[in-house]
Amino acid sequence: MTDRILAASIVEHLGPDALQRLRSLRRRLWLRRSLRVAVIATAAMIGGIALVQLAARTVALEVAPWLMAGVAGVAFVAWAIASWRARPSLTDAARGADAELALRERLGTALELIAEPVPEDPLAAEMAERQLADARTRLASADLRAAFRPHVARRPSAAGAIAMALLIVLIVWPNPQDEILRDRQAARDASRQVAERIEEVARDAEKQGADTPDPRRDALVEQLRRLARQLREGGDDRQDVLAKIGAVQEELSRLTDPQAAVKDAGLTQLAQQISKAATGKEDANPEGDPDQAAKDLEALKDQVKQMSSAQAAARAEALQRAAQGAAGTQPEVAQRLAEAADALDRAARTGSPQDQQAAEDALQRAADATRAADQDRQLQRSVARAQSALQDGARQVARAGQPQPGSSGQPGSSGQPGGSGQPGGSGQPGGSGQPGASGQPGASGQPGGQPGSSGQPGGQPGGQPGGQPGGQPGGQPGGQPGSQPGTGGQLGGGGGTTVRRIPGGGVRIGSFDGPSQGNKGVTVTGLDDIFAPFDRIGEPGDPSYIAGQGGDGGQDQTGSGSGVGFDNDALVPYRSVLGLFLDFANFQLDRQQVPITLKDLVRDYFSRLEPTE
Amino acid sequence: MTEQSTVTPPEPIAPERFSELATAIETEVGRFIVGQNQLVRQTLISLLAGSHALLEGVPGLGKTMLVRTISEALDLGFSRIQFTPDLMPADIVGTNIIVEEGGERRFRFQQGPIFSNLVLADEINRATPKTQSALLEAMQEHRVTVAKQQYTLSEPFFVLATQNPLEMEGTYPLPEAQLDRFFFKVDVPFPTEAELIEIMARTTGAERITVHQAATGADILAMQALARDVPIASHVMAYAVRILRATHPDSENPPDLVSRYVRYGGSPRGAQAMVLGAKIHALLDGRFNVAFSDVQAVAAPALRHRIILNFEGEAEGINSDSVVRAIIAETPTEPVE
Repeated sequence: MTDRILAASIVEHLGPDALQRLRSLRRRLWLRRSLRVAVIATAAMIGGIALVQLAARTVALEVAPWLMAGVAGVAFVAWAIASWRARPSLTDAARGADAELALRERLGTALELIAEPVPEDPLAAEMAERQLADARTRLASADLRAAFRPHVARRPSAAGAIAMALLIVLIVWPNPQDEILRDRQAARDASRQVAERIEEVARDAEKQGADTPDPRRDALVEQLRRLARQLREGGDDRQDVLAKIGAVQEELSRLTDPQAAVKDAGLTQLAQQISKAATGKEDANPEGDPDQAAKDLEALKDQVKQMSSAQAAARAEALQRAAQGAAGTQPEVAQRLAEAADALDRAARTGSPQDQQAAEDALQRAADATRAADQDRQLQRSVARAQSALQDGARQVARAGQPQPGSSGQPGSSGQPGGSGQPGGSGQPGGSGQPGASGQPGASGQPGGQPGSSGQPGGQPGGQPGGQPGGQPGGQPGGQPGSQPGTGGQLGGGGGTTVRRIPGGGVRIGSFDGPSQGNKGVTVTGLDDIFAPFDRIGEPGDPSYIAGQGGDGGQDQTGSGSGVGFDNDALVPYRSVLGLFLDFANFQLDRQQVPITLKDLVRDYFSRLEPTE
Repeated sequence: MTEQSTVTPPEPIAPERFSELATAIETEVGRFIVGQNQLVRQTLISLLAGSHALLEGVPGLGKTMLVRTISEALDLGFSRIQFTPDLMPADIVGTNIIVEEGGERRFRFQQGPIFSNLVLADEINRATPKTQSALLEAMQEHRVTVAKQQYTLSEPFFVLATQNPLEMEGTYPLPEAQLDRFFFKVDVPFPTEAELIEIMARTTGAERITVHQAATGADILAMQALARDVPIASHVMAYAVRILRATHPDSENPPDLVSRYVRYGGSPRGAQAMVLGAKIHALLDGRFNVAFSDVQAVAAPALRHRIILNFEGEAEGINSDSVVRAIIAETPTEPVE
């Protein structure tokens, strides 16, 4: 019999007041059952959360918060379902009240009697009537508040209390896995940042060569984007990220031309000389734009038939000079130029249309070669940027979440301020170039300390890393070139610093009379294994920052020497950063357990490299 | 030929009257029987259930006196049969004898002592099984058969058998099937010190206590009829059944005591005795329905002679009452949160 039908029978036989009281009893019973289920669910929830916490201490469980929230959610849903299913009927409430209120089964019996037809036996009918009356009277006089008082079940409560105590201990006690999680998160964040950076580099590379198809550039872009995607998707594992970056670095290293810097610088100068030769103007193409040089060659091509023999001969001679100058760095372009010069010279001498046409064709080929060289240069620059981004990214990922080297506290007093450096102001590099003047090495020592300190959030500025680089590069490159102009094979430092693209937009071309091997000597022996992104030089916090090397922006200093300068922005002399490496090596040797013999080996290595002056 | 009962159908009585009569009977019996409230109450329940009781106790505890007092309080016929090994069935049910009437000889049935309202079968376990079965057949059928002739016993018919737990030599213990015919098996406990003093005072003084009639045989029949109309809820009935089932060692989840020491559990008659006894107990308590407590109150006398202990139980000195107590303790009435 459903509660609705039973309720009607109760009203009929026991009265509406009895029904109301029975419903009240039913509510109280439901509340008690619900509370009991809630206690069990809560105990289970606490136990579950404690288990998750326990598991999170065993393994680095990043989803632990979600698991705990899931446990709580499941417990709530289970409570809601169980509570709904525990909804008592009127009969349940009556039987429960019999026990709770010591009614001796009067209500339960009464509800069964009213649910059945009235007995035919008059004696039984009278007995049933007496029983109903008795039940009605007892129910009316019963204190309903005494029934179904909520009480907490002991076992679930005890279990919940134990689980809660365990949970509190687990929460209060530091979790060793938190460090792993933080480290993983830091690696992930760093991977994302590196991915953004790589993506940016890929966009730049794509943009730069948008008008000319180049499968190598497309492959580079695709490779960079693939790496960026991999880093975004799976940047949890530091080693894996570093391995991926390393793999791409290795791929990029195959694309890298070791002579790229020399070629780059040579192309700039060649472009100037081509433009100068093609136009006959001294100030043509001051920035050394190869594309402009190609255009000048094409313009010259168009003027071949109009030019006089003397003009053509002069252009041919200038082109021949430019070709000779570029023979070492841009042999392909130099060859085309030489051919064009020969053809132009022949056309000037003969004046025949065939020779003129041959000269035009040769000039066009030279222009194309110049553009091709420019394209190569762009690719190499993109590769260099990508390499820089990858190297920087690898360093960032490797250091993510780990204490910075400076945090160990290198007292500033140990630093060698840049003031100890030999001022380069006295140096007058050869020729009209004034490369040394641009550096203020003496003053560079001071700012050199700043970058070091900015990388050490521990508050103890690293005087040593900052000071040393500041003093060393400021003094040596500046001073020595000045004292030995044109002869110092190792004076490339001067050349290196004098020929550079200045952030302010100007181009400083340091030219000197000395042999070009001087530049190469520095470039090849001292710089080829240390690479720093040129677009980051001078940024605070960059350990490769060498203050005092920069010059005034916008000043064009043009030399007339036959030596070839090159853009070495991306290169830093090893001795300039030797102090940094020494400090870092010492720091790592102190921090990690390294056998003494190996420590000695490392220290010997640096002591051998250390400058003696 | 069947001899008809002389008692007319009872007039219905009200529950209140039931309670009054029962109280009066207990009061009258209590005037003579000192203490032994449970004994009196359980004996009365057996009587009002229309069945029979087996009293077990050492000699001298007032078993015979109890039956005699009840008969006096009810103004019913009383007969006592002292069971001995040489007692024959005919000595109980009666026999045909040759009599001369009108110059001719004919057989006439001579009624035995069974033809009475209240029969005391004293030390029933001393008679032979043959004699015991003659009495037990009369108890069950409320009639006797002699020479293919059936004779109905007058109502109310109530047999109170006694047996002595000591002096078991030369006795014939009642078989389980025959024990099962007794509604209750009532233990007669030894009186307390205070009760003994009171017994001494009453029985050794000059004052002679007389018992007044409290009810008639018709009243008893009416009370028996009323008792069966007491309503019992299904969950209370189920509780009685669960208790009975728990006496069986092969039932589902029996108490440890049962599974270890019980050979056979109670028969359905045990549940019947519990339910009917609980109804009467409820009426005696002034209620109109059966409660769990009523079932619990009558469980021991209704089941103790129906639970057969195994050898280990006998050896360990386990008695049926402790088994019943364990069953009640472990059987839930009804789950109430």
